[in-house]
Amino acid sequence: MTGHGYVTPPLAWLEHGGDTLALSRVNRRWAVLNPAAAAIIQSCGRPGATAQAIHSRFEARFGPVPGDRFVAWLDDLEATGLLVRNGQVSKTAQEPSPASYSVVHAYIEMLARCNLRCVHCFMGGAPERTEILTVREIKSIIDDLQAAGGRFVTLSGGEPVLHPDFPEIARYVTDQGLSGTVISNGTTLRPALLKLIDTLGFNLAISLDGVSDAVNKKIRGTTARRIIRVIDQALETLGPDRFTLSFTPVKSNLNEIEPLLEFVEARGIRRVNISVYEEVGRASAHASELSLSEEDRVQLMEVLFRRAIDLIGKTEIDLNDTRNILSQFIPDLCDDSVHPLWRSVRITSSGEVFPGSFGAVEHFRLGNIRETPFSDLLKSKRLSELRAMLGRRVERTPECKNCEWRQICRGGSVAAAFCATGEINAPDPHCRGYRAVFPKVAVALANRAPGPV
Amino acid sequence: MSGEQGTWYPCRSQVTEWRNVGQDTLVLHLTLKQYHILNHVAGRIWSLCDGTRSSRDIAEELARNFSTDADAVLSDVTDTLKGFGTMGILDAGSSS
Repeated sequence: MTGHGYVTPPLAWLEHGGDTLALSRVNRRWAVLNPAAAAIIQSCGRPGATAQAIHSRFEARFGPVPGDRFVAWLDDLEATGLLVRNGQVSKTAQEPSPASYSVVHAYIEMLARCNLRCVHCFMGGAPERTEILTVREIKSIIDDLQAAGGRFVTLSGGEPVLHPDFPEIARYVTDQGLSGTVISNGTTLRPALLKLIDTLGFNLAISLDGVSDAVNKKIRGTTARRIIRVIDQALETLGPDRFTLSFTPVKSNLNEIEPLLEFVEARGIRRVNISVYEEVGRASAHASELSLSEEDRVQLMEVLFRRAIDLIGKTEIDLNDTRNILSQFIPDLCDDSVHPLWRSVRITSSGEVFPGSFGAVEHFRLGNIRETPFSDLLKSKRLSELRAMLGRRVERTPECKNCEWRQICRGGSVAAAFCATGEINAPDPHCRGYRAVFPKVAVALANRAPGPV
Repeated sequence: MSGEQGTWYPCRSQVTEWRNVGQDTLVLHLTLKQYHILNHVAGRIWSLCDGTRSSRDIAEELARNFSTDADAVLSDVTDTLKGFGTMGILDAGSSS
């Protein structure tokens, strides 16, 4: 008998044809339960219920049952989706307690300069930009983050490797025991830099707008071939587990997604990050050529979710704030750390600090490290208030409140919703796409699940 | 599934069971072990999916129930039926 804890998702109970049905309000699964099974499920509803405690309660009511047989029953019930081990139930509607809240991730835009001028760049990186954080400022950010219990640092830009002190700063991240990621356009990554990134144990994300030279030239001003050459070197140097391919779907590269995911599969890339385009920064000046129509968004979700299912076990696709877009359908993959806004801050190359995924939206500005110590900004009351607002967002958004899929999408991207409407309590612009594909995804995943119990 | 409007004879899947719960209809998929809650209009459409009525017939029946015009509800009926198809609760061979 293990000491595993068990919990149940929110359930509805119904008498039907002489049977007792339990219906999960989270994953649309149901099962017919006999009185003994129903008693087990009901006793798992208590927080912290372990297999031993459930077994003891069961025996007190129904008489002795060998431990191995009881564990087999628990396994059967787990397979129904009505019982989840070790708190793996979706915590979608739950809010982290204030006591447990802290920023764990700093997204640092080391400089605004970039050798490219991508039309969809949300921060407008360009060769002529001069804003830059000094080594001292960045080290201070890292020190404060670590002191506050932070664990993750992303070095971005502009093009971060163009920062004159990039190697020193990257080393500092590692020396402080933090997990580092570099987000690069790839074009300036020479073998020696890749070696350094590998030696320091960093993750690397490279952006690409599809496999077509023409499309990349139009959006990024460089060819796909040039970037793919570096991706291949990166995969060879770092291996597939520390590499992420980033893609921002816009009108002009929408047809590139399928070939890009074929490329991903062929190269054995394990992680793809889809950053949904938002009309901010330079992107807002190119909205007409970039913005996706409602139909485009539905098509995007159709492709992403269909391919995510095809690629199960090979590649995971992240979308905006969500690590692995299938995670909310699969209890084993659910976790409560998917919302970076709860756990992340962004520091611009001018020292401005914003909550994680909100871009440079003045409304949410926390302050500037050149005026206020970063350690103080990490304790900003505004962060706590925002987190509390997010915890109530789904309930306060009329379109989400009564939606049957709210436990899956969690209201979608709050940043995308805000950029589109100026409101936090608004649905994600991709809502129609989600609702179009979620039923199919649920059926497809159910078909892959172990047989009915 | 995607037959032209009025030429489709949708039929409830044999691997489903259903019952009314208040004004809603609970549809249980017996093999996928999934359930779906239909509102009272979708539930009414569902109840008419017996394989003998075309989507046009269902639209006309619904229009009579709600004192409206069949043409006005046909596209909604078709969309709802497509939704049922996506959920996997209609027989695959129910189009003609």
